[in-house]
Amino acid sequence: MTQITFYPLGCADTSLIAFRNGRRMLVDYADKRTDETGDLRCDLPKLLKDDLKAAGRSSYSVVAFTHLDDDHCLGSPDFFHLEHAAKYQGGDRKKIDTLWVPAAAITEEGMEGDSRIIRQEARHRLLAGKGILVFSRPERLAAWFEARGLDMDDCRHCFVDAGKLIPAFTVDGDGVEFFVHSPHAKRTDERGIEDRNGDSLVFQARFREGGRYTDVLFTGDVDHKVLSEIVDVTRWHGNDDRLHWNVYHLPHHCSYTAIGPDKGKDKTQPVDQVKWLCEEQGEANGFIISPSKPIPLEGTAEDRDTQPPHRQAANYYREDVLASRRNLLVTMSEPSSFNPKPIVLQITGDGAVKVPPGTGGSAAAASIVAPRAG
Amino acid sequence: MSAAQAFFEANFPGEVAGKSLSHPAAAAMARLLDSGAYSGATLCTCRQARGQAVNPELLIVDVEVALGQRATVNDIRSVERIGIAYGRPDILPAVYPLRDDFPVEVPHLNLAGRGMPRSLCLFDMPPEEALRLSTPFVLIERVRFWMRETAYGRLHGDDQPLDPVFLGAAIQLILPHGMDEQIDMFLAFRRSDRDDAPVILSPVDKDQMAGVRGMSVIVIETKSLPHGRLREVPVNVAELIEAYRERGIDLVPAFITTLRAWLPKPHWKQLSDRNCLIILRTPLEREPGRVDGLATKAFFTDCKAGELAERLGAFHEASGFVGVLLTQPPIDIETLRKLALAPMDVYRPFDRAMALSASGVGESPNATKRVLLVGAGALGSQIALTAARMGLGSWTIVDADYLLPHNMARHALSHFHVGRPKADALAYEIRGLLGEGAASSLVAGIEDSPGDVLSSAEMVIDTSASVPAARWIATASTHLGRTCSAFLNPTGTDLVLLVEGEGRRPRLDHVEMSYYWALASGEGPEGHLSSGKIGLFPSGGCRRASLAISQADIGALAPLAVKRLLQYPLPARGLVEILTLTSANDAVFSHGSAVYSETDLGGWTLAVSGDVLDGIVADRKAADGLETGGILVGTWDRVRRRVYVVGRYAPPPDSLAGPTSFVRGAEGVYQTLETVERLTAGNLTYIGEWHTHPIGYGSQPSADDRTLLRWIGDVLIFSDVPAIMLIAGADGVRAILGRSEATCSIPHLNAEP
Repeated sequence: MTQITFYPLGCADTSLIAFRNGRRMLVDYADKRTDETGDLRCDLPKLLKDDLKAAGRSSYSVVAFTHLDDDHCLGSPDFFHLEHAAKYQGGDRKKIDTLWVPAAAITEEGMEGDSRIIRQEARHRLLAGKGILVFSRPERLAAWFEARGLDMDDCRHCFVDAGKLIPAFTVDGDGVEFFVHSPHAKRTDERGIEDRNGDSLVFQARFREGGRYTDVLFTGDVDHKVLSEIVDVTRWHGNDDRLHWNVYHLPHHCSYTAIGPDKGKDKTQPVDQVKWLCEEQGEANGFIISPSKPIPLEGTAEDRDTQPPHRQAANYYREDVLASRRNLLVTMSEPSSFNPKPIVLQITGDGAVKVPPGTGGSAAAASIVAPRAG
Repeated sequence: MSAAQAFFEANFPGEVAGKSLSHPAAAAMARLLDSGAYSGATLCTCRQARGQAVNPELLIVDVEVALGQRATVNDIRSVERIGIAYGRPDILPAVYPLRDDFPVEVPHLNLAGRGMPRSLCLFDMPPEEALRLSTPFVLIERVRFWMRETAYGRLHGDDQPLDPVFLGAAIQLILPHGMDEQIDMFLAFRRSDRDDAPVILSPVDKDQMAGVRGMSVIVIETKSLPHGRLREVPVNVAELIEAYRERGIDLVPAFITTLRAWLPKPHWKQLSDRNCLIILRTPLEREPGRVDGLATKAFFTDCKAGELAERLGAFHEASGFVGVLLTQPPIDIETLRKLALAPMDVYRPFDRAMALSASGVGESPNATKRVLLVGAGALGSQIALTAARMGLGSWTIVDADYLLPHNMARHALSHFHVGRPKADALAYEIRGLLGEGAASSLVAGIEDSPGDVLSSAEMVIDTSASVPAARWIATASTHLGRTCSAFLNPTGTDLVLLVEGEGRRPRLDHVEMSYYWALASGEGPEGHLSSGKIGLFPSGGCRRASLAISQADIGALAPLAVKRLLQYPLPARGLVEILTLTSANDAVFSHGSAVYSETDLGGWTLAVSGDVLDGIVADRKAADGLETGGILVGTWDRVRRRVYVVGRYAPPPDSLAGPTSFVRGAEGVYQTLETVERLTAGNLTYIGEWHTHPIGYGSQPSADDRTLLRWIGDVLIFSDVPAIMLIAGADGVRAILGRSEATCSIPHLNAEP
């Protein structure tokens, strides 16, 4: 059974993918919970450890950090076994078979805290030439290799470029494939500054269950400009279906910036490319995941806050993209804002299907049988 | 509000709070939905009917349907409002969809009176089993399952036969073999005087019709219909025509054509003067264009066929002449309403196709394989009849003997056949099962049979139990069909199969030698060829002794020969197989049963396994002054108000045990319970907790225990039954039931004095 879990963490991202062979993958890890009463965010390390224990595993096949902002990596050094330093090893820490990072996570200087620790881990793995996949053309890191007196060619297998499938997964063998959208060349070639959101991982996970495909789009923290570039490049290559989605994991906690330049009064108007991505490539009966606090009500203090989530953005998704308002799933509001619980989507032959908390999936009711024959 | 919801609210006028519900299952459902632990459905309102001894209650609930992005086949939405109506506690609650445009042409909606709402048919098992197994959680999850599977047109499984057009009728009608042939008059009879005994049809030859009170029969096959909901059975001709017209099929032209087809027959008058049995066949489409099943219903008219023909405009009789109208007058449907029909459920005769599917054999290359059976004794007759019941084999049976009284001990033929040649009687029985042509017989020894008997066989099964006969078949005949011998050892405990390889290499006599060599090498079962006990000398002479072998043994072994030789493919090589009964000659699995102590507690009868009690007491002693505990599994019988405490598990590894406290860990508990439920198909489940109090302390519950009990209650919110806690102390084992705080000491039958 393939399923994806999105955790209630406030405006922060962690998604767990359980593959049908039992392997586990995380997209981001951000534990920002405090011990204060009234903090409704989940106890992420406990939930993840319970899941691994139930699955009988001790490591993650993949941990993808879409980028190294706090809301995507905070607390990681306390949870994961990191290979670059003994102080991040031992105890109950969970191992990472392969780390996925954008190129910026290697090259960027001036990082602090947990971001810096994950950067060190990424660098350590890249220098070792194993246990890492960097989303970039290797050439982009030529100077970085040269500065360390290393031959970049020895590490080419540690890179995957935009527009390619990640070789470690196949839809026939694993029931899933990953298509890389970003970081992409246009952005990385002409850059002058380290724009970390712009260098976010963007990829499509394509699952096959029951002979049918279900597409899930992960978008890190990109804005509408980057999305537009991705749409343009992808369409230019004729890869439109690689932007099809049954599930759209929103960038940047339901910010209007992922839709268009102006927030709007009640609804953000999309730029053409985002309109195409959402309204034509998306399934109207699909799910949009907003990894965020509850969507503010009009006129409240939260509504006036410049930080996401933005009511106007939510209105766009609810009214113009989805057939049912209920299919915008806000991590801090499911099943209710008073008692948020992880959102579980099961990947089935019918597409992505929501598993409400407490229901026990599909098996519970179907497995009732009368026990005797004669 | 939908009209359907308004209808229900009018019938359940009083709105009540969830905690004021009186029906235990309704109250438990409300608790589950209000618990916050379950988000598959939301409780909208609770309502009550008034003025009855037991007030029916209604829950209005919004269920979340787990839809994906794939286009649905039926219009089921991601949220559906339902009403759950609770009546008598011994009847399953009824679940009604409350959306006015909820699809009605879908399978698995229960039938209701005209104009009454239809409820969902939720369980594919007898209602008394469903009632036993359906907790509120199971019920609501089953509704979600029904909705999702209906949305995608899957609720009716691909392996499940399609529902017929009409609901069941009171009369069962059994058709004879050969119904498709040109027979238009039948006798109907019953084999019992009871009113509910099925009616059996038997064809009447047209030369014998004159003096017979038979019935004329017409068979009408309609156009195919898409698989849809069941309808009420028509009870007059008008309703029958209307029911089909509603679904776009006009039966009248078919009636006219079929009835007019009698007219050129010399015996048309005899047909017309008798009451008519209408057999109506409608092919069913599983999905548009894919016919996968046939709905057949029969209707017996209480008028003469001639009157039916006249009312339908097929033909008209007057003073011994018959006429056909050139233009079709309009049909007076109200007149047709006076032509009553007795509807009947139709059972087609047993035949090879039915045998194959009822046995789960499906398609088999051996279904019509020409099999020659040499020897129709006890083993041969049981092999042939068992295979025939599975739809396997087209049989030729060779045997020179007659069925005698002593054969009854283990022959497949019944006492009706005593005195007949075994070969003839066995072939007769097989034809009765599979139809004419399924078996023929030859009353002779194989050595005296014509050569084509062997040469035309595709397979020869020698059950003669005669080495000379087997050797003759092996060496004197040049037939090509693969040949095998099946026989029992002298004590009747082992079945031996000697099977030639493909192309008769190795030949049967060579396989026989391999069998002896295997025995010589010590590979056979112990005492395989030790001499058997003589049962009797049926004819008095000592050369024809009959060995003492029971039907219990041969009845267990003969079917294995069918499985090996005919049901599953044979290996290409020659084969010696010895199949043996276990030493116990019976159950492969044997497990002693625990002794249970029964106590009445809080309105329930509590039955606790002595093994559980022993274990708890022993663990308390062994715990070295610390408390210990774990989970209990068992089951509730909601109808009979009984709780069975069946098993217990050791403390999970992450439990914290102290001298005066015990916190049961969680590690592995979920998996344990999942396994228990899977292995027992939900017949055992989590029912509560056990723990011990330290040496010197009694079994009275402490404050901590009460907290634990509340926690157990939270888990069991998914159930409609109380939690159980067993506490072992110096004074024995005490049981506590749910939040009622009812406690009792359990008499411990196994306890030392």
